Amino acid sequence: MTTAEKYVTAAYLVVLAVVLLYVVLYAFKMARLTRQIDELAELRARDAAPPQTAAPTQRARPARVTRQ
Amino acid sequence: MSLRNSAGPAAALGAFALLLGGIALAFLWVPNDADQGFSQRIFYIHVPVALTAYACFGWGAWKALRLLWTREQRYDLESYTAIHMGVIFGVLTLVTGSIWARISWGVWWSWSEQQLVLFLVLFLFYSAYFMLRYSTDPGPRRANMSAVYALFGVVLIPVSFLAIRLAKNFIHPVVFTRDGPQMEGTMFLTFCVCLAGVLALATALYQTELAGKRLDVKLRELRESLS
Amino acid sequence: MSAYFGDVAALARKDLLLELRARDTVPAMLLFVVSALVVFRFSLPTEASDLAATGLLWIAVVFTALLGLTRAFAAERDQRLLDGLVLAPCDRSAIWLAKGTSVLAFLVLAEAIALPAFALFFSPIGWETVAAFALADLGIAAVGTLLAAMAAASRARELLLPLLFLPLVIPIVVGGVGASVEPDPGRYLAFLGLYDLVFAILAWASFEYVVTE
Repeated sequence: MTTAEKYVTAAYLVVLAVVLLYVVLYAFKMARLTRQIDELAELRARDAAPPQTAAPTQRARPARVTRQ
Repeated sequence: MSLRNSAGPAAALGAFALLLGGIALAFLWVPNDADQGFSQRIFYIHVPVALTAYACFGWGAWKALRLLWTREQRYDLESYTAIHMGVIFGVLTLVTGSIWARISWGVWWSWSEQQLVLFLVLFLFYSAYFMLRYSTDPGPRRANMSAVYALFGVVLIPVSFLAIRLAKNFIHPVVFTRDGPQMEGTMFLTFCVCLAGVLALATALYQTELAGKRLDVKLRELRESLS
Repeated sequence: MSAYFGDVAALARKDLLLELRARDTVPAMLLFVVSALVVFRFSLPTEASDLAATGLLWIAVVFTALLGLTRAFAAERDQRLLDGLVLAPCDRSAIWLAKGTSVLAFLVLAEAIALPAFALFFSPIGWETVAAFALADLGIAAVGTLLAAMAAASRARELLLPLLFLPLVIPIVVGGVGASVEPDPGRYLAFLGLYDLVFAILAWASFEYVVTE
């Protein structure tokens, strides 16, 4: 390959490289966003769950006390 | 604020087809330039990238104008994304232009290359745009200031171009010309395909980036409302 | 219309009176520009031409202007007066015009010392250079005042203003240096006039958006 051909190809490859770099960075961003969505889903589940999990323990404790 | 990305996939598909076709044409079909030989083929990627950068800055300025006109905050994100894309393509213009200078004149930089110098000035200007955004707290105030700055940028483009044209007398005499006055048919077609491809690429990147930024904002709002 | 200019006059008079009493910005600018010229004298090799020195004069003035602009909104920012000004029942662009006028006044005062100093240290300057500086001052004041307001609203303040200002001042430097050294200054002076017109209109129209939400 002549010098000119090398440089021309390099120019096109630089454009390709930047686009691919963008894809890589975007993949990281997607991973971060997915993690945030999972955290939010967990937060929401935790907000919705407490009323049901608290009641059984309240019912159980008095029962144990009276048996003693 | 809609998260739907309707134009994204279409633009990406178009970019794929057009850019692939354009690069194939540029390397395999188009004949060598009579004066500059093989190295002239850089033209088919360098000039479309430069024009796309201008288009991105123009689009960003248009969105900025819409923001100031309607005060709708969604235009802030759109203007910011467009300028972000413009800077990316601006850097690509500088790199491909530098490579072309290296081939043509053996130097990596040339002050007599008016296009390159103009892009250097614009790169400095729009880099300061990001500094402005990062050092101001988010909100309508930052959106307004960014929009005004984007408008200044688009006015700076022709003014700087004039300035650089004037400056060439005492910076560096212009010795070389780059393109012939007309392009023959095959070259013009290849150029158009490459230009369409790069514009489609910019559109696809813009849509993707915008969707990502909007998702960020929406997630932050959700998180704040839940905690 | 006369109320508008009345507001501008009142605001400008306030700034000029403040400076007259405090006397901090203009003396600092004067000292800075003369010191810079002396530093340039030492930094230029002995065979350096007058052309190079003229270029450095323009740089000295640009950075002196930056010094003055950094102070332009300092008082308002520190004492939160900018919000009060904005609440005042006047057109916000009047604030820009008034501030720009006082910045222009400080710059002209600084140049009144800088240009004779340059003539003394380096080489005499002609009418084209003075005309170029006059036109350039208008552009610097117009654009610089708006950018100073932006920088004042950010967290970075003094760090941000040079970054915003320098790319926009490149055409002014080109026009100014060109008019000072080229044999045909007319084109460069006309270009400076164009820059002033375009950016002054843009700054006047958009200042409102910079200071409000």
